[in-house]
Amino acid sequence: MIGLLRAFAFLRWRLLVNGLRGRRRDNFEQVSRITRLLVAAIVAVSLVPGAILLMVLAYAGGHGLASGNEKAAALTAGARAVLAVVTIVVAISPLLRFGGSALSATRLSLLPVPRGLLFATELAAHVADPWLLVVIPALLALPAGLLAGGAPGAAAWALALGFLAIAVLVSLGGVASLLGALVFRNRRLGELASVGLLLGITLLAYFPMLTPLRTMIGRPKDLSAEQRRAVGRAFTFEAKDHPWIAVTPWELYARGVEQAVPPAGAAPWAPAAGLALEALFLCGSARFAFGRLMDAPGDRRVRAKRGEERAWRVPGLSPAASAVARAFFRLVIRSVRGRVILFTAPLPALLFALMWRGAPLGLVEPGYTGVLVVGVAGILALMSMSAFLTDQFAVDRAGLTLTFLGPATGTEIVAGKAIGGMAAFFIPLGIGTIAAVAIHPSGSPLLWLGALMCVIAAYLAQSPGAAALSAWFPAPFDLTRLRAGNPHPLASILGLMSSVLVYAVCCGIFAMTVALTRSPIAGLAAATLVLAAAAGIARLGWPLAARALDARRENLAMVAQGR
Amino acid sequence: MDLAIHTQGLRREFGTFVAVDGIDLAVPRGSLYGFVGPNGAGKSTTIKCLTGLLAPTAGSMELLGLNPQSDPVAVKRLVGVVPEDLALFEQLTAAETLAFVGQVHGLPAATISERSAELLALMDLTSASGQLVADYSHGMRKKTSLAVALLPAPKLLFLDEPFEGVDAIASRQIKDLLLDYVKRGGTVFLTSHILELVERLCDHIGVIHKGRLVAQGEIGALRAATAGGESLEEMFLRLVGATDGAGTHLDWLSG
Repeated sequence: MIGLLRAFAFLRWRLLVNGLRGRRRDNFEQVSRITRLLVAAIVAVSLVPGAILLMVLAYAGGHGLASGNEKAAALTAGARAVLAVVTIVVAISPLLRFGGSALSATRLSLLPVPRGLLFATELAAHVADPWLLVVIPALLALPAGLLAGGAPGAAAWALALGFLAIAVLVSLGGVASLLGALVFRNRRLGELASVGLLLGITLLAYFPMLTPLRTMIGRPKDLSAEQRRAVGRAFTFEAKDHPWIAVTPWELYARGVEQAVPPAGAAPWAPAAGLALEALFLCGSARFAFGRLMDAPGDRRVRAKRGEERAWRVPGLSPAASAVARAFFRLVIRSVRGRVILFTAPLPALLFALMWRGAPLGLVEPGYTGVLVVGVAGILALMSMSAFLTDQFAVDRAGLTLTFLGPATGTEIVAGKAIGGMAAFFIPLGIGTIAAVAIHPSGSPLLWLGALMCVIAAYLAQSPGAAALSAWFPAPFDLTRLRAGNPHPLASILGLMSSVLVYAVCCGIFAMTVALTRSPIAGLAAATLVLAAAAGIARLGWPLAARALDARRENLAMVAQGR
Repeated sequence: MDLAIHTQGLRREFGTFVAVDGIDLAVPRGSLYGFVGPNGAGKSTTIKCLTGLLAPTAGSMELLGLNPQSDPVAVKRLVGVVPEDLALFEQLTAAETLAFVGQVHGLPAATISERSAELLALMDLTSASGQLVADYSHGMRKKTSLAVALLPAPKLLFLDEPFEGVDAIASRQIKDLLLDYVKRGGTVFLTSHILELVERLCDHIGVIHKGRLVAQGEIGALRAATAGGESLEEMFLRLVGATDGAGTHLDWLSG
């Protein structure tokens, strides 16, 4: 058993170290690698103070509870909140990894190790989940504080409850991870589950704002007392209204600690038994999922159908650029990350459209609200698209080599990527515009057209810069997996900043013209000029970006494949 | 001799490591050239240099009379490649991948459709042509990559391990296809670890070892030059200096 644990610890350690070491092929890549590591290091280091702070608070709180300090009672409320957040994150994060467990089921099933032992090792690995590492010191510090405060009985119970809570969290992580592996080993099912999950989470986040809050924001002055109460209810969570809360791990843990500490000083058998039962149930479920996974480690069901393809050409583009544009568009709309980005981006615009059914906080006149929503949808679409426009070459992965092997020039590749991306950009922009038209149909059609032209102009104007950033700072980025890489942080930040800046200039000129002249025709004329200028910038900028691409082809093809 | 591939002093370094060390390739037009060597000898790096995926550190190259460094697009129009990693878009179907390549090569839509249908049928991929490449087995990917390389009707084919992971039926089909292609005037440059196959299929070979070209020429002539007419395998083992394991016999390995 010890030997097996050592082998798995060695495996995980070497994977981590070798992943950090990597190779450097040129100076650009060295800079790129260092900045990427820096961001990861900052994230990792930022967890440490959080863990220390929680530990200190738990110790002080435990000490205070033991000595009857009334203020320390807030500790259990804090413990409830922290454990609730960690429980939810532990349950969801393995699913967001798209691919579930990090284990290679095929490799594990070939090892001469009993399945039960393999399962125990896989489950134990979840203790290393960063979220658990943040709370484990606090769960151990609380009994230490109680002991130091002179309540050894309560300390023993708190320690036992803490271990049971950790067991529940570890088992929960195991269940989520293994069920994820079962679902996600079927690519189509996994993609569907990922998109559904993320859209669900996003919608849940917006849901409370769609009912009473929009009433409050839309008509702040004529808000009735009942409406105010409705707003209050929407943002107040009363545990007594939800009986299921009583059986959640965080509630059982906190209630158990409250029962064990003085003055109650009772043995919290019921909460402890509840936690133990939950741990057993989750552990059993994880074992079942593990068994299913090991029984058919390489199962990959696929759907077969005949496919025919007509190689149509995008008007105005060369055949090669058209092919690149179509391939890029398909990649974006067929990948999990692409779909999530495209379909979640217009949600805030939809929300604003609903909230601004009166006047949008007095910013513009009612006749202009729809146009403003289009503008919001535009900037949201642009910002969300920059997530993959700033790594537009590496997202092709092996397909990039195929592109490079063909007789397409750098300019054709850059232009194709820009136009393919624009087709994808029209999806969130289109959804936002439809929402705006449906909810705020008033206003001059010329203004609507002008706003759309300015948003498109912003996209075109930023496209050469995004291509150059993608060539200079590539990062392995798999759009088909939720947790398989991201664009390079430097490219992301610079890309986002330039997108916002270009958008501000394009739409600012249009807005200023309309505000000064009050004439939709003048607004449309300004938008036409802006669009023409942006198209000119794109046409001149694409060959320049192509130079960056041509200089970095070799490196890009390797980075795209994660080498 | 009319050469399809001609390199002089082709060299590629990765830092201090020399992957290809000044090789002079001479591949005649219309030949089926087998490029063999042990793992890590520099075969794939050579193909990557020739196909423009890697820039050579030194040396000159000529493919079909053109310089791939000064005129890469013109060379790529004439060349088909099945690279080591197959280089396919995971999120496209086989039919879409073929349409992509055909369009990049500037072929008319009707020609792309016609050739795609024929190639997919030949590779037994018609029924799966609507599936994403992500769902394909390794053999299906290999066949898709070969179809992609053939679609533009190239004058020169580079195939990196074309028979690896391919079933016996497909392997036979590919062999017949390559022989037919060469008969029609095409040139094939392939790497393979299966020496028997190279011996039966190829008319010319080059042997690379530690980045250096240690033998090159017509396969019959090379064998005739050796005492007793060695097989390709024997010649290969002699050229790369393979030993019987330097005295290690894994005596502990017992059934």
